[in-house]
Amino acid sequence: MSDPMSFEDYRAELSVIMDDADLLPSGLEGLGHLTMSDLDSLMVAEIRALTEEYIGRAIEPSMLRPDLTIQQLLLFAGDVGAPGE
Amino acid sequence: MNRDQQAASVEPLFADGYLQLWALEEKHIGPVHRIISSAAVSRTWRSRGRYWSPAETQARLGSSFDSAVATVGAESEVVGLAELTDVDFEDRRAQLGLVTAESTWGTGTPIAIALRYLEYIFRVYPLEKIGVTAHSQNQRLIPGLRRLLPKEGHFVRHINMQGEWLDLESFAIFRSDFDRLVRRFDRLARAAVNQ
Repeated sequence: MSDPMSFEDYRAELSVIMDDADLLPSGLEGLGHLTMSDLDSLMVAEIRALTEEYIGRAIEPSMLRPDLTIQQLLLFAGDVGAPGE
Repeated sequence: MNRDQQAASVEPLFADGYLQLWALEEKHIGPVHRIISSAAVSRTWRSRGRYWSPAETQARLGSSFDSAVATVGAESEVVGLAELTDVDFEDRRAQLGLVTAESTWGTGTPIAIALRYLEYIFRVYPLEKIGVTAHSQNQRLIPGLRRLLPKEGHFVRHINMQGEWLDLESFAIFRSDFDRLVRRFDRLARAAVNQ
């Protein structure tokens, strides 16, 4: 079993997903206002998988609602935290 | 279904934790029929938004090329079907068909099913190129496909969806590029099989 992911690792991986989509190169802070509806469905699926890996459990389908912003997602992930962190 | 297909169905084509792929059998027709009877699902697939009866579903799927049913969990709940159409061994190409239950949309499960099915296909058949198409109006999916796959074309008025003509975007997955896609979606596929 791999080591739990740290919040910084989670943020870094999220940045990779966003960068890969050729979104504005302004870092997560600059993209925090983007909502799930601004992203394509593959990105949303990748973000879901990453978040589930970070928090160590499945998240409810309603969690990634269309109006959820990246900033809100980061707050949610930060609150829940990684297992054992 | 011929004897070879029946024999092949004893063992899954793929099994890894949560997700399994099986050769299509008669017992899968009912669950697959339930999936494709959803209007939203049907519009994404080759039934083109039209209702197929169970008998029609069986007849049409029975003539498909090496279809695989995807199941999840200990109860083997059927959540999708992957198949090849327009198979051309002369030019080593085919078209991927994928339909999954609405409950899987927005998760990694459809991608995991597609990747595992294509792993099987590339292992068993000498195909070099698998085509992937999406309705042009599906703007949630197309940007993702454009990021990841070479685009082959845009077909105008290509699909007749119950009288409405739809454009189609065409992309390709090449055998030589498949490992990159597997690595790219490693986390997604792992998440789908480890639920």
